[in-house]
Amino acid sequence: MAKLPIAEELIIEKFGPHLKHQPPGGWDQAGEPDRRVKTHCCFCGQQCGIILKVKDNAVVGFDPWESFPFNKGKLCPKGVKRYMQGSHPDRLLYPLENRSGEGYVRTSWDAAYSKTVAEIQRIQSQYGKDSFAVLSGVSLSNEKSYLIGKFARVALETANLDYNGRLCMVSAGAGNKKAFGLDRAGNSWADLLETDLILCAGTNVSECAPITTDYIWKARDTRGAKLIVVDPRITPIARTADLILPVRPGTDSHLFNTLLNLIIQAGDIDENFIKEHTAGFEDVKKTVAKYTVEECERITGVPAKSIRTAAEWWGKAKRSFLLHARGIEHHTKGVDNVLSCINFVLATGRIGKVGCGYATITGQGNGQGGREHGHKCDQLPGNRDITNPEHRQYISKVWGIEEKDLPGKGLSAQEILNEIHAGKIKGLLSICFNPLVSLPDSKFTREALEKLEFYANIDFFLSETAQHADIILPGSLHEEDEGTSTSAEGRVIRLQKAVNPPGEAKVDWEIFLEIARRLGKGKYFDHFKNPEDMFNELRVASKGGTADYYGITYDKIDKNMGVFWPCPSLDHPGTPRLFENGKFYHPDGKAHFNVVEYKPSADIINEEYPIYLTTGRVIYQYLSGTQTRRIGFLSDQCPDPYVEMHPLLAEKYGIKDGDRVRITSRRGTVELNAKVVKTIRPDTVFVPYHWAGKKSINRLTQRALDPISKIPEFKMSAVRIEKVSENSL
Amino acid sequence: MFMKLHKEGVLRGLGGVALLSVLIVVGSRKLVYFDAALIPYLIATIFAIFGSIYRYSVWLSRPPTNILWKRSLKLIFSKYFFANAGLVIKAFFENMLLQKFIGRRSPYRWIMHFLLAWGCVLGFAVTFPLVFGWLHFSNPPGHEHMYQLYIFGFPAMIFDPYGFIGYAFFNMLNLCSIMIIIGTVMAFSRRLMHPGDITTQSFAHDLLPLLILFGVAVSGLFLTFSTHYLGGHQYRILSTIHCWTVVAFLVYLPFGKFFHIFQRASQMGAELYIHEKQEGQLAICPKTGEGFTSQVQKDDVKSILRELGFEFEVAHEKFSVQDLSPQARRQLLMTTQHKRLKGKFDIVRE
Amino acid sequence: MSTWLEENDLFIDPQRCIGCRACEAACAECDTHRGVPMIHLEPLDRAESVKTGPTLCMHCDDPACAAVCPADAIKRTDDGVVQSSLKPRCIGCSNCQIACPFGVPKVYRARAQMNKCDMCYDRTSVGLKPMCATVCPSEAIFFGPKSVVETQRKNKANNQFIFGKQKITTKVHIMMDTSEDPVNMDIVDFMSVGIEDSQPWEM
Repeated sequence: MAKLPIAEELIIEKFGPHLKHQPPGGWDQAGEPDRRVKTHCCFCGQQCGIILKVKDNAVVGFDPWESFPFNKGKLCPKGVKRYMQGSHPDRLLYPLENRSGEGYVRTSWDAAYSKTVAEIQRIQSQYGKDSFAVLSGVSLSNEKSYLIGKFARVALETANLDYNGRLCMVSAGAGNKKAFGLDRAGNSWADLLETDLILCAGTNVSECAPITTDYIWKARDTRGAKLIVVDPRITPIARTADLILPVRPGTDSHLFNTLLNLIIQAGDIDENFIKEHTAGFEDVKKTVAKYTVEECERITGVPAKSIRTAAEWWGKAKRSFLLHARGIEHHTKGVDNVLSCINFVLATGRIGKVGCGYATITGQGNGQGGREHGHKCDQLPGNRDITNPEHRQYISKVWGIEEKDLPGKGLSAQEILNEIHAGKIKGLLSICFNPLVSLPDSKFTREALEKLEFYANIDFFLSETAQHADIILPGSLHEEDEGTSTSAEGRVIRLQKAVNPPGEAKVDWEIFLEIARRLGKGKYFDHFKNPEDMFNELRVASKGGTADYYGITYDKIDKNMGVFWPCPSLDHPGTPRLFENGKFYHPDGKAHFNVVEYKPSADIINEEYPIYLTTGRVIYQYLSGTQTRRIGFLSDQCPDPYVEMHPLLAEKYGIKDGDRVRITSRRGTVELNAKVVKTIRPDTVFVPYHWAGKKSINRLTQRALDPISKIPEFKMSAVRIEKVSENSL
Repeated sequence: MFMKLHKEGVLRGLGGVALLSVLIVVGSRKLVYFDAALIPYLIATIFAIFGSIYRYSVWLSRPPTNILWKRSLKLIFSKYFFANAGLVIKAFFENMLLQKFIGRRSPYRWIMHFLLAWGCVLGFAVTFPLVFGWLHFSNPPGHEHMYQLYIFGFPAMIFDPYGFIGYAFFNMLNLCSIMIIIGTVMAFSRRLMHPGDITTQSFAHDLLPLLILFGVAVSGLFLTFSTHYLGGHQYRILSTIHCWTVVAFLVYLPFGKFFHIFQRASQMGAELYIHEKQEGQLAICPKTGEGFTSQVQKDDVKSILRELGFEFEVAHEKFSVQDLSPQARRQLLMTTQHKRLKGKFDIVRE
Repeated sequence: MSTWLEENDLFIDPQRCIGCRACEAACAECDTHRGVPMIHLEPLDRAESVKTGPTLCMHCDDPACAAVCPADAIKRTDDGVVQSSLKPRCIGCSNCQIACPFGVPKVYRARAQMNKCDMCYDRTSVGLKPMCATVCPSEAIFFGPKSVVETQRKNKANNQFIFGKQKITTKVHIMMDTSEDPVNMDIVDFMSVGIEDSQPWEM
């Protein structure tokens, strides 16, 4: 099954995306709200504090939460309009069953559960436990992430559980673990305010982490900090940067190896720190020695002069902070790119000190906490390793199961789709994940979904992926449940419940508990009466792991406006800055240098496909757009994707601003309007990815994965372009 | 406002009062039909008329208002007389009578404002002629059960006081009271509940006029109630209260919020400007190429600014920032800052 | 009158703007004009640059908009805030829009009404920051004591502007290279030379 029951247009007519422009009751609605709920924004890893105004069980507006220390009331437009996702006409209000020819037909919860459980049991008995997979997402709270990890392993007994963080944080996570023995931003953002030099690599801070802009600007204001931006585009954060390194997509590790080589040659490294607190430097030094500026200029397209200036500034800086994000991580060598950055930081010893640090910027709401607590196919709660016998033993004990019954390492998100396509995985339960938009090669993804024997989806809107489900279970929005979340800084914060789920919709965790019960596994879950119960078990499960939450309680979070993990005991204040005094988390206590050799990207530029394509976000949309494409103000600002190109490139193809352009890769084709601007490398085009169907640039991207992190290579594809028609305006 | 007495205003105000006096004497047949009990009303009305004419004169003498008036007349009496006069008549219907633009601001406010506006206008249409002695009734000879209406002392229609027309005549003020009461309650509840209004409203400008209207309407309705159901109980006290509320209204009229009733007429002038922008010659921005207003209105505004002492023109030229479209002006500020900072984040950077 | 508005000022630095439109989104959430944003946020020349900037009312000491209003609908409060049009008076004629040297007023034809930034009078009159300045992620719009801006930023707060021979002094400050001399708003230069960002790649 798992096909669309009726024509797509009919589905859109009923389930949207429709645009909501006004709060419930309209703009003119009078009167004070019943309550003001202090919670957080759901639309990115910064997790800004926000106050939601509630009236008659509906969120009717927002107030800035000026005393919350991270954002002090500041919000991007997604934050301002986040409340519009509630009381939405597209909201799923009762369980639906996909009936071919009829559409999505209302059904009862009992019938929906029965069907789901019966299909899980049928598929697992027929094809084996691992033939039923779970896909999850990190817009979910820590509690739900933990619950789903336990649910998949204990109730479903499947190894194949993975999550949409696979498209986000995994390269950084893997790199961090290799280098530091722990996966978290090295510092709280407070250290950005104390630094002298900020290097942003592959991070469009101004659009994807807008509040971080304030920290960077303040460092420039008060300390005269310099800013270096590594990006193929001049993003708003890059526009006034002191130095832009306009790197060619996919060549980051070459740039960082060369930079490291230059500072080693100039003697601008901290030999003491390297000797005392790190391992493996000599091998790296030997490797980077062959990375010359001339070669780097040829490969990366960054002018030699700029490379030298960057190395000089970084080498001579007293304090420095390196930030990176998906721009360097979405590659088949994502982990390598991350490691090349970390090598560059470690060589100067400027980490774990005031104003000295390193961080990756989490993209997804709970990208940080979600991956720590076990819906990642290779991890157990507390950032434990599912292949480590000791870790397995500990978690089995916490969960009350035999270690032998705990499934092993499963497949990553893209690999699960590959196996579904290959007919090996037959059933799927998914929540909070819209792979039809967000995974590469969407034609392949659609084919895979259509091959499923059974697919159950939990969501609040009927996402493009959910349209393929046999059973759709209406879950909860961010503001309809309570719990905790962990921000990009590693700050654990509280999400407060503002309203109840509307109609028959349920809070997500109730759905998992009921399915577990019906699968006969109630005894492992029945003690969960509320999210705090789950959090308390999570605390124990994470105890002794690197991501240790044991000392964090709901009360403590409320009192301190967040607590930074690791926080191993109740009297521990939390750890805003990691790696102080050169203490790292490998058994040897040291940070590890890792040898990185530059490798070309998976897709090949040639005469037929001569142009680099890179993809990314716009500020008005979030991830697969399931939420933001339904919010009027946001969608109005950027209703459609476009293809950004330099006038030199456009001229070569006779393209003018607004013309219709066909872009073709080895996977597929899309037609988009051209945006001809001087703010992008002349050999590269950029397309934002938040849309589905014919507007989806992920029809063109490829399923090539990083061998370690299994992240797909979104940031570099080889394409060709041609003009289809003139600007119609 | 009263720093310097506006001579023309005083003269026009006095003229208005004189004209009214003549009309009262003539209309009431040398005060034969004038009801002495209504003297407080009359005094307040005379004050209101003087005040309103005075203020209107002062207002019209302000350069922008003056130029709008002159421009309106010029546009009406141009070769497009019929088109423009038609436009004004249409605008009068839509904006003054139906007040459609308020509905587009908010349907709730439209209902509220419509009830208040028409409640007042109908009320005046009945009371002023009665106060001035322009209307009176008597029983026509031979038809003792009928009423005859006299206008300016001339006999007009005869009607049955218990028939529809009679009912309508004698209950018109009650209807007005009810309209005003509903309108003021709507306005009050909005002003007390709406967070935006709560913080910006002032007592004198927003709440006082509502209180006065509410007082007039409720005390008026009580008079009817007393007559019909209490056999005139407490009628004198009630009528005194009613009288004072009406006096308060009339005294407030020229200087408070109610003056907008007269000012609203200039909206027809605005309609002519807008029409000119649609049909006439456009002022094109030399930077963005956008036709952002009509040439006529841009010239008018520039001349008002000159008259008021603003010197926006670039030396020796007629060119000023007002020749740029609003969008270009916003770009001007951004560009000026950008250039002065040499495109950098801040000033000390190389 | 209100000491809050005397102690604090509004500062705009377009150079810090990241074009996110949080100000525009939040402006429309303000209680006095819900659903109607009164701020402008525009790209300067997108083909050339990602530069953007917010425009909100500068709150002139002697506002040209009020001077040219035939309906006398624009008032300046004692604490220096030039209010949006008075609803009962505004006739939607657009004179203010044509006169304003900063391009601020927005006129809504259907409602026959001009709306412009009133510095969130509902918020600032009760000791809160304007909505835009509260949410702005880059502090391109900043509301606070002048001393904070003077000590923590390198750019200088300037509130005097010369258009032709006319000097305009405003309550709102723009961050410039100097705070001493009035800023010459050179429209002739503006007409002839645009902005151009340097291109960091080899062409």
